[in-house]
Amino acid sequence: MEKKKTKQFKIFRFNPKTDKRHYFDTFDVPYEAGMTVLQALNYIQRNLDGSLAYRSSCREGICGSCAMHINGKYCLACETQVIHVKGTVTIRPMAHLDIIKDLVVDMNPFFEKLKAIKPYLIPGDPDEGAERIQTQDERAYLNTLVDCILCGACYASCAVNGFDEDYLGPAALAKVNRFFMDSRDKADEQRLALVSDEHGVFRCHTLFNCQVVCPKNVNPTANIANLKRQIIARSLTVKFSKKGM
Amino acid sequence: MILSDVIVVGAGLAGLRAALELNRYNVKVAVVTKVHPVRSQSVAAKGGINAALGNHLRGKYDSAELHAFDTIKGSDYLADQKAVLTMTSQGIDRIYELEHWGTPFSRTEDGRIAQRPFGGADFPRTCYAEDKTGHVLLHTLYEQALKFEAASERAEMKIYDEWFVTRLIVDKGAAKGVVALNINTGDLEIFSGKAVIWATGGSGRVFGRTSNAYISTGWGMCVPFYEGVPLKDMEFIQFHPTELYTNNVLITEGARSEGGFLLNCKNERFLANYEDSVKAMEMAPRDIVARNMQREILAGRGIKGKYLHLDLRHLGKKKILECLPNMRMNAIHFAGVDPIDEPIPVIPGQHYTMGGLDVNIYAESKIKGFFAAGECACVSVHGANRLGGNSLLETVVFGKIAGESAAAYVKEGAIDDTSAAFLNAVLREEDEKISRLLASKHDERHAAINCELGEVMDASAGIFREAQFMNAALKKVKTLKERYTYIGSISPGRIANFDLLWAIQLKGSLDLAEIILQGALNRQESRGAQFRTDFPMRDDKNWLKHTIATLKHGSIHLSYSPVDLSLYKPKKRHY
Amino acid sequence: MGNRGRNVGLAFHWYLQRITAIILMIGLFVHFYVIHFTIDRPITFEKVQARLLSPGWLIFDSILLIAVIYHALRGFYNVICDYNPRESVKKIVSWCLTVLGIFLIIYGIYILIPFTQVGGV
Ligand SMILES: Cc1cc2nc3c(=O)[nH]c(=O)nc-3n(C[C@H](O)[C@H](O)[C@H](O)COP(=O)(O)OP(=O)(O)OC[C@H]3O[C@@H](n4cnc5c(N)ncnc54)[C@H](O)[C@@H]3O)c2cc1C
Ligand code: FES
Repeated sequence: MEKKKTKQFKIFRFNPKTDKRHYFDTFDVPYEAGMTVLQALNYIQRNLDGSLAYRSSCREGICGSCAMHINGKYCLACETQVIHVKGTVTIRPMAHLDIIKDLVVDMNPFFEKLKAIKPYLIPGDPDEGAERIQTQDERAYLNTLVDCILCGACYASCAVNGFDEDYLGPAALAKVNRFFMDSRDKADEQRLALVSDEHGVFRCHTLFNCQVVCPKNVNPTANIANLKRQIIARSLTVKFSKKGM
Repeated sequence: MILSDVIVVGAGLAGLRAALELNRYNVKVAVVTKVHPVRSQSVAAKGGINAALGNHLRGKYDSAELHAFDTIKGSDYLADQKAVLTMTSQGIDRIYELEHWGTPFSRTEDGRIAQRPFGGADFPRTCYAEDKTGHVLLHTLYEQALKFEAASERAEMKIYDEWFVTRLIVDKGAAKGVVALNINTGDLEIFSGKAVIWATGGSGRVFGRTSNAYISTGWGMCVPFYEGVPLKDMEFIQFHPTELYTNNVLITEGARSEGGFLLNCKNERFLANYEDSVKAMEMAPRDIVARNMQREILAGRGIKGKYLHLDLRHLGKKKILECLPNMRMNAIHFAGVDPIDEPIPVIPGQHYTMGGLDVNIYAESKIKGFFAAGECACVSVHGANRLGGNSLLETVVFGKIAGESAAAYVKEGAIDDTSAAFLNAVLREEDEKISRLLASKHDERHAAINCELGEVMDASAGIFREAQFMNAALKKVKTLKERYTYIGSISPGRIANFDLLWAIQLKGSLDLAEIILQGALNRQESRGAQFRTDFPMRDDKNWLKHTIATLKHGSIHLSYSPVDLSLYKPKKRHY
Repeated sequence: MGNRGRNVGLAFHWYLQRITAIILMIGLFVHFYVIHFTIDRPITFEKVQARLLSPGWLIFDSILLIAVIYHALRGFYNVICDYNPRESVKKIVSWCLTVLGIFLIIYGIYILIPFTQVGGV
């Protein structure tokens, strides 16, 4: 049989119970075209070192479990092909979040911020009868906005989150815009008020990191920019079309 | 110990819907899930959710009854007919409710919920949001759950994520809670309540080639089974016609319903050559299409002998980007193929578990205070074969019903009379089990057993089944179970010990495999998703009945129960 | 996480920061061009005065001065805020910077005044 090629994986390890400091382990993983980084991690976990901890679920880039830092960029391990990574594959956990073990981080602060922005539809009229009417054009504004899988890649990549731990972060702010842009949502003022404080949209430095790393092309930067624009326009009492986005 | 009125296990669509219903009835609820809610399998559902809304131009005369008939016919008459009608008639309101809660469905030109045709349905009635329907539905329910978690006007609802349930607590014939392991700290804890709702989803990972998530191991179905809840119709496993050849990621049925063609190596639409799919072609139900694809591959007409092509190129770039953007990205990521320019390599693979925990139309089981809903339950509304888009509907309809039933059960005065001593004994038992597993010095690794299990199930319990191969497979599964007792070398420590979790869950997969094989072997007929090459005909006289598996003295026992045929008489299926 | 709520001042300052940025972009370009390319070396009091006697230039320079100082100090304040300091620290910094800013603006305009007196000081 033809011998399979192997790839070197350098993986961040830390167990708060036993380790004083983090360290890196290296593993050689046989691979072929089509293998994803997540499958390589499975291989390591199943065959080389059972103690390796990382989250996984859908293995098809929709559940948001497996965001991590792979060779310089936050991405989904299950959507990253091993053959596309040059040289050694270096994997680190997401930044700005406490490490539970190895690549598993405590996502609670991330979800707490999501909870803080009222992430649910606030309709003006009672929920009765058939569906609310929404035109295809109105729905089209939501096209990429609703794709967020809450993986946290944007949050980890955002430098501002590193400084200001109260900063809402790209995912939560983009979610505000998702509801703001929804023609069925009738809480515009409330939503804008929620994000116009110091740890809201004005903290954003427009670094574009979130836009670069987002695996679903949600583009939080543009979403945040839209919210800023809306807030300014409203304080100048200018009527600004939502379509501007 | 964590106290609540009702414990919901699982935070997929079914679990969250049940929790929201309980909250509406002002019942205190704790939702326990081994992954964060939005990481549940439901998030991966793509094609859509069925309901006879009649929004499509060709759907004006659709009705809940017609939907029920299609479902029953699709089930090869094994579905319980009143249950189906309940689902299809309540389904309409559930969809509107989801829309009111904010689900961003795709829209028709007049701004209503868009619907597309799906296999086995006479009318286009599958509501969708591009090809991310499960994603938007699950996020909507999660958002609603956050809303009521934060709201103070009703009884408490709390989601405990990354808690792995290892045991159902049954005391004096009634469900009283669960034991769960906090994955991130390794602590074992009792969730005590007056009722338990089970919503742990499917069990695709019993097979090797499956579209299911890694977490769908089947352990969820086994936990109540060990405590006496029977499993129904487990031999009925759906094989989806189009999964990516490379890693079995699902290519939604939507791709065919939007007009995709299935082609063999001679570039012909081979479905025309088979009697049961000649009329409906790509839109025939899944069991039929999957079978004919497999026949084509076995006849050597696959591409490179191994897979078939799903060709979407004629749909054009615009349509693909508009209706199937997620599918396109999956094909690019996992098969290196852009469907706009090239056909997609597909094969049939395991997709859905029609069977599950035996419950009735009110989601009640044999055990008092134990309710189940979603893919882990079997009401049965899918019978021998599920129609695409019906299982998302099942999760929300029966999730709500389970919530109602549990609320009623609690309000009617179910009492929490379990003694603390009993609970502590259970907790100690579970703790010892885990300690023993961790301390085991044997060197059988779960990964090896898991891998072999997948191979043997793919080979013998797949689309075509035959007694001799299944007998051999059963033997093999039994040796694997034997080997499982020597499992060991599990990484030590309890914090985020995923090695341990996989090892525990493998036991569930093995037991389910045995139940599936037993049921399939016993059932000497071909019905819906089960096709026996040695018994190729449907046999209503002897086999129009549900298989019920129970645990007796540690071994699996099969019995049978009647099917509700009160609405439609069984007829031959043709499409 | 505390209460989140509308903060009009913040939006105002953010907006002003963008406006002064635009003023700086145009203003600095004009300023450098005029100083370095239109006046023959060496630059003398008279040469500068000749320009500043026209009120247009005087207004231009004053606006540029205010924009520069506002933009720089507000930027500095933002950098401090990025580190999420305590409310009291922020208040002190903000007061200091405001006082400094007002002082610099007055001082800058004070320096401009001699140029506007025909005949020199
Ligand atoms: C790729 C794919 C595409 C699909 N597309 C469609 C479609 O288009 N239309 C359609 O109708 N159906 C579709 N289905 C089927 C449908 O998605 C599922 O049947 C449905 O989502 C199941 O939902 P559920 O709520 O029952 O379970 P799940 O969503 O699977 O949730 C299970 C929950 O249980 C929890 N859990 C499991 N075990 C434990 C444990 N031991 N302890 C604690 N918690 C546990 C998990 O954490 C999870 O939260 C698709 C399925 C797949 C795999
Ligand atoms: S495993 Fe679900 S996104 Fe990677």
